[in-house]
Amino acid sequence: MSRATELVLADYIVVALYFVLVLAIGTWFGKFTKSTADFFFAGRRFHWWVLAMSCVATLVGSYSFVQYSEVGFKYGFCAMTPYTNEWFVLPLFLFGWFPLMYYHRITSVPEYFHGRFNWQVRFVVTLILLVYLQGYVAVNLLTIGRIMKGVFGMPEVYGAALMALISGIYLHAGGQTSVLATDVFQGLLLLAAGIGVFLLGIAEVGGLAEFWAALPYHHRFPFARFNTPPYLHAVGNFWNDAMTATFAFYFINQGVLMRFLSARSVREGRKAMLFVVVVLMPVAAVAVSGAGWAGRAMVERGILPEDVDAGNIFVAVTGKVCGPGFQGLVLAAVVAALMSTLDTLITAVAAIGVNDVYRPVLPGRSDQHYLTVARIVAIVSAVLGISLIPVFQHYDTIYQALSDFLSTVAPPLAVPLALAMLWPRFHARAAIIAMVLGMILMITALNYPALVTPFAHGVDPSEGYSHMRSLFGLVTSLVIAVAATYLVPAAESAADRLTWFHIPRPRPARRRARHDIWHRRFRVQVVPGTDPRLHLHPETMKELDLQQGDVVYVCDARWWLGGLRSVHAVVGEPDDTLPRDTVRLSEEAVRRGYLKPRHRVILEYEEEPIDV
Amino acid sequence: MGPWLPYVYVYGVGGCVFLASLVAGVRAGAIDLNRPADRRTLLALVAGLLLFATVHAIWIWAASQEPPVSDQAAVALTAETRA
Repeated sequence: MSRATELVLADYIVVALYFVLVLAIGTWFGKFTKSTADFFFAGRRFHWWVLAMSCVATLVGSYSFVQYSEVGFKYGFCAMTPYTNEWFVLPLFLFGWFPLMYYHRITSVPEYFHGRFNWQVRFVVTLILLVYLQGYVAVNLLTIGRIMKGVFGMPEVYGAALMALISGIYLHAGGQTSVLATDVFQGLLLLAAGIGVFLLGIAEVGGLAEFWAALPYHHRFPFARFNTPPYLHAVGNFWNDAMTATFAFYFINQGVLMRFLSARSVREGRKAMLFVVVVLMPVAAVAVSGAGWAGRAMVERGILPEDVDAGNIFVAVTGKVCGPGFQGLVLAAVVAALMSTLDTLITAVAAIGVNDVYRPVLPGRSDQHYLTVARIVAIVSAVLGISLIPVFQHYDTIYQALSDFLSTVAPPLAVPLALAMLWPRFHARAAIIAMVLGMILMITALNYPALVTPFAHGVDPSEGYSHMRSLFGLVTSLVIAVAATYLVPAAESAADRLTWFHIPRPRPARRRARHDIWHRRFRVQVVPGTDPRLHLHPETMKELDLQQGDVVYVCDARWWLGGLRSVHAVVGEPDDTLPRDTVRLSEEAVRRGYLKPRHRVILEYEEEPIDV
Repeated sequence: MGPWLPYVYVYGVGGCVFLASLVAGVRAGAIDLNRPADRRTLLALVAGLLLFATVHAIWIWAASQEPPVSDQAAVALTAETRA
């Protein structure tokens, strides 16, 4: 977006409305945050569709619209590949990593390494993640600053500071709950705007058949060519994106992990993930690449000049097909993609800052104390991001450096994490050796690309094997890790309970309770006290096949709240003084679940081993 | 192989990783086939992958139906020369 797109008053009103809405939504949801569990994991009570929709906004990153439109314009439908190739590592996430983290109540990637190995491994991982996340916060703020400069003419730092202030206000208030709420809104916005531009572009060309006919032959394929050109090829996409980046994104990215840990159960988290991969990612791929495809067809049909700048194709197509007001909506969508990534990153920095740095140094404080620290860390992270902007402003190559940093650390982090989860024999020393040596080899390969040649699948070395370096890193890190496991003696016994051989077992299923769930609505009777148990009439317990000690999920019956007002509770002794359509809960349980006693609730028997 | 090589490579190598993960998961007990919830997730995973593989295959077939512009030009030139 630039001023050259000639925004009119209607566009500015739409953008202003977007900012007001994001701030209002984020701040209002702040009232649902009263503990660190709320701040980091939104109370672990949300339904799958909330997580899935909010995840889209986070997955569509800062440069997505511009970058994927450019790739779509130059190479065609293969621009979708990074959004549609996440299948291959999904079994490890859905059946291994996610239930392990969820059931063991592990809050961060470094904490997992501490539990599985020792504090030294945790320290190394904490350091790497903090450098990466904080650098990424600064890059996102600078990108927002550049957009604000382009549209409103204000200095980059002021634009970035304004955005940091907006996200800082609602993050300070609501943490993950506010992130979820704003990201659902922003996800819908960016999908609608991206798809809208694509459809308008197709209409401009003359319809779907004309659009298809106008595309060059090689643009029509869903995959890039096997190993050419050196900038974009299928084999590189597979190893760099499908295997390494997907693993890094879902397993190592603290922000994304926290999103899934906000689910009310592992079952809901799995549903969210499957919906994201099957439905939302392909839709998002069309939203971010569509302008590029439409732009190519428009060039072929003479609607856009042949010498149009590929890097600017998103702006060119938007300027061509969008009327007053819609351009403002598209600009808001671009900012939404940035803001949603930014708030996720800042929450992740706060989580690691509190759980992996502050809490281990100063343990035993109250939850309110850690909540206050988390809020302060979120603000500090935003301020630090702004203060780093001048550094990034003067050295554009730092963008590249940060990208190189991620591609350098991803394989040597991914391999030890996968082995820690899958292989009980893998130990702490082997993990540290694999990480450190793996990174050294990756840095060496950056400077001596010839090292990658045996893994290059015939790719031209002129681009320095930027994609094939991932395969090199995966193979070398794996070899080092396996060799070190056998050759270096373990310093201490590792906790093999944190492997996927020891995922806690669920309780037996109750068919009748599951059948009744969505049909029975109960009144809530609130009694003073902090009793965590839920009480029911004996006949109701019999009808629902519930027993004392069972865990149930108590949720406001209004489905569209997505679990915002809900709580897990243990079934207590039956009470025949209660009406059959009533549940009794303590004030504390109602407060914890943000339940409104005047609204009815539904009950669901929880099979999963969730602590209350 | 032409346009099919990337497809075969991605779904061939990726499919092996996918299948190996599932087999290892079942053997480790992380995937409990006696549990309906695990069976449903497993089914959704496999069906999803097959769906994507099928859509990609149909897409490549449809895109291959029209030869490259350069080939069309060559065919037209040959026909013109013969005439």
